[in-house]
Amino acid sequence: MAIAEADLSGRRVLVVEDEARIAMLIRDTLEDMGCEVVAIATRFDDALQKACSLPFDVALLDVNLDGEPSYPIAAALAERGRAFVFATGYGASNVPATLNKAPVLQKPFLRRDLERALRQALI
Amino acid sequence: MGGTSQAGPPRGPRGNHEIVQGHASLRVREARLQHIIDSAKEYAIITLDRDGRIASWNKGAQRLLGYAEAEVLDQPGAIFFTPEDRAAHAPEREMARASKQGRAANERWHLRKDGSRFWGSGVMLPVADGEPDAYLKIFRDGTAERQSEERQRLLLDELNHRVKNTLAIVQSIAMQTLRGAASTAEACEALESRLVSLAKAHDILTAGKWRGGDLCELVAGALEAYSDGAHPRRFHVQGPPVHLRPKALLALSMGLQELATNAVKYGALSNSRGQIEIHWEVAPPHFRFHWIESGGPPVEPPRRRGFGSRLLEEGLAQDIAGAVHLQFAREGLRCIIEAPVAEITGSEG
Repeated sequence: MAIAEADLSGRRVLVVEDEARIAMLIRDTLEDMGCEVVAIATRFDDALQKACSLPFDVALLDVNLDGEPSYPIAAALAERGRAFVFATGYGASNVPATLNKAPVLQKPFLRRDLERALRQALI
Repeated sequence: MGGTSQAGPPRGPRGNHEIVQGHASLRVREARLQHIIDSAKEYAIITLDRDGRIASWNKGAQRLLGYAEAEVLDQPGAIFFTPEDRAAHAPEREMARASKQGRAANERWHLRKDGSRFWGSGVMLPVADGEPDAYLKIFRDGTAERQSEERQRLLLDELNHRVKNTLAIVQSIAMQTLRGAASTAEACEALESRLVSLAKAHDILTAGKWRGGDLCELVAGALEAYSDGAHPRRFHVQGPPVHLRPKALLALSMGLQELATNAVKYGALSNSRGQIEIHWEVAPPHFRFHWIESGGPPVEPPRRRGFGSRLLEEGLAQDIAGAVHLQFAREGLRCIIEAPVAEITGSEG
């Protein structure tokens, strides 16, 4: 368990979340876990640009960005071979089949769920 | 009961006459049936032969699908199936299911002659016992019901998403309020106040049917609880009408609540003389909002940045894609909120 915990420390995370208060909690939680939050993107265009240009190890992707699905961003990440985790209030069943290998976090989520999902994505 | 031979009809010419009469009445019945079938204008009633070719086509089918009977007789029934369904062999599978199970549901998109689509809702039945030698297809236009079901499903999905998202916001507010609080009593008070503020913001959204609302009303509503009769001139509010989109409305409502709570605890609303000046300007593409306190106790810059400040400077700023500046001036707190007009109103202009 201690080894698995260590896996996440120092990892760089891109957070894509349109709801600022949720993004704040995610940032705090990730920093508590020893991760580095490289950026928080709240808009689709900004998120896509950051996903394609910033250096990071794993992205946490809110599925619904102000009404717009973030699947194209996930597809771009998959194309680049980047790890990512979905966060959603919808069921996991809505995720397109081509992207459903990524872990899906159900909102609201616990810190240990977030840890598990990130580790799973980083394997 | 008469059992005598007299009662039985004699054979011979009279019998032939009956057959002729029988043919005539069969024709009448057939014509009547055709009339019934044709007057069922809401329903397409189509027969297909065993190879799936169209054998008859009523007026309802003509009305629904746009082809006249002469155009489609002997054509494959697949002509009014969508290309996707044809590729998936849906016409053949429907016939096979009807043969095997005695009926097959006909619930699918169909194509009209002009290429448009409608949702065909009905059944396919085999005609004759055993190995069928024909199929009967009866369906009507169920597009409206189909769309209403679809809308309902989408609404439920959306409701589920919003509930989960709101719970995640509550989780975030609770965690961070508890984390930053100096005592349980302080945590309770702050948490309660923030949850009530979130609920109030939702009330405003619901009242506006989630289409947003006006900034003037939002400000008036947020200050209402603090405008006691004893100090009617505490607030000076000025600004043009601005229609806020739901997200901006929610964010600004929570932000104002945060500012007002702070003013009650430490600022201009913590004594009887303090005043708050609120004004905003729209100068496209910029929107600027000012909250200026005066007359309260002298302001000390906070030793550490609390969750309230973060909610404004990070949370609100992100939600409106703008910037929020908190200035702890000695004469009173100032908060300046800047955002692109398009971002808060949701309109491009």
